[in-house]
Amino acid sequence: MKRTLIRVSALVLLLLISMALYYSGKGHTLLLDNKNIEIDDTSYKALDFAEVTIDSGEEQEILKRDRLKQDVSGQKHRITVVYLESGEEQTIQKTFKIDVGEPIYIISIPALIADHEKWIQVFEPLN
Amino acid sequence: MKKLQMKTILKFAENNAVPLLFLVIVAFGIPLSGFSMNYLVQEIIVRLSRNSFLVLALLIPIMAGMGLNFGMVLGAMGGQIGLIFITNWNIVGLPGIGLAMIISIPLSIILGWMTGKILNKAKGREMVTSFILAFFMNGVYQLVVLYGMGTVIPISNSSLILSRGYGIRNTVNLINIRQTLDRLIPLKIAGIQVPVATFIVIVIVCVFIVWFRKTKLGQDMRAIGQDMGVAEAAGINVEKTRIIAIVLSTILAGFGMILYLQNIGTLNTYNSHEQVGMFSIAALLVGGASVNKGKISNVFLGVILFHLMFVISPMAGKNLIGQAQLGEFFRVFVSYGIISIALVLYAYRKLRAKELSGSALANAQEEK
Repeated sequence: MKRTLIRVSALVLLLLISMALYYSGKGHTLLLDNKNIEIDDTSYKALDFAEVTIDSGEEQEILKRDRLKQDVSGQKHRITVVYLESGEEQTIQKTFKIDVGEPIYIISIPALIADHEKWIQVFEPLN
Repeated sequence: MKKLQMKTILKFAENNAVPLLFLVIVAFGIPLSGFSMNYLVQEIIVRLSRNSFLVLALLIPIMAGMGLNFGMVLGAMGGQIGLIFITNWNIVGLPGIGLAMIISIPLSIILGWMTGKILNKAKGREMVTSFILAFFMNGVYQLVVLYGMGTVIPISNSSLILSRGYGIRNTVNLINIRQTLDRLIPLKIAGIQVPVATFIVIVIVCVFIVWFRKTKLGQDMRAIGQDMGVAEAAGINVEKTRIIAIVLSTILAGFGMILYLQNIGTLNTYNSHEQVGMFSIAALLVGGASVNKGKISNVFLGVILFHLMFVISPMAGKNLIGQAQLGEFFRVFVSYGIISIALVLYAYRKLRAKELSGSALANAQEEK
């Protein structure tokens, strides 16, 4: 009885570790988009220049009409955008969660700065 | 006194014939290759981190008197299947390596248990049996990977699947986990990169093996390795212990294959596992191990000497006769040759020991 209990516990533990590894290691692609965008009949203009950092990764420079690709793992992330507004440097930081089943997300930098709720969306490629 | 010294030297040379032979080859090969010492040290460190785990997997069956486990290829297959799954699910970095290892465990247990069962029916002929078993299981592996994956086993990653819609491509890019462990703790000494984390893992396995030898199960295995009949008479469950030895070896081989491939960064789906068994066994034998005796020191010495020869032989061959291919032929020739030499030496020693004990018995009877 004791032996069976130990074996079942070990198996459950192994399954839990596997799940933790799966969720923490699941890779996703983030597309960082700095283009003019219209969401829910509202237009947002692309920034001339911004610096974007995902989690504690490298700072990336993004110009107008640019789209950058960033690979991340796990579901919880933080994005930091540094941009110029009326000649002054502004910083905006947001944390977000992504769904484990979705491989690619698109982040609109103009929508993020405008604090629109749909600044991050699942990317659906055109067929 | 001089005669005694000579006898000791000859005995040492006889017992360490293979490593000494390799030392001579390497000593001649290094100047011929023209490689710098820095380059050679870097190469050896990389190869030590890449191959040591696989070679360590061979020690437990030797301890249990089952010889060189050619069946480790089965564990390597388990490790590869784990890697295919994590690539399919896009699990990156260390979690990917960990998950691949966990996936390989049940596969290695099943394959190891099956190997152990078969080897129990072929006592005394374990090596040739496991060698042929590896060929047989290669067929099963290819059937599963080539026809099962994408049909029965769902594979969603299109970069893994062949253009016909099922079966895994010949090459799987392991970019998601490439050298993740090697680069986890970066250390550079005099321009030489040292994969500290991988070495820590290897040290942990060494400690495990040393500890395991001292456990009840380890002692049972050693007893079986010494004399199966006596061990059975002493109440040890010989067959079960032998199966456990093979299962452990297969699991370690699976882990070793994952570490090996994370260093390489590419999985050659249908070939990567094939030569792993032969090269690991050859390395262990080069280090001075034999069919019935293997130590951790043999693993490291073997990997250093064997892979040093791997590194220098193409260049030495090119500089010697103008063809790098000589080195390629040479290393395959040496791999097979060294296994043959070790087996012949083992048979010779066994025969001589039998003769010596026979003549000792005859002398004792004559004296009576």
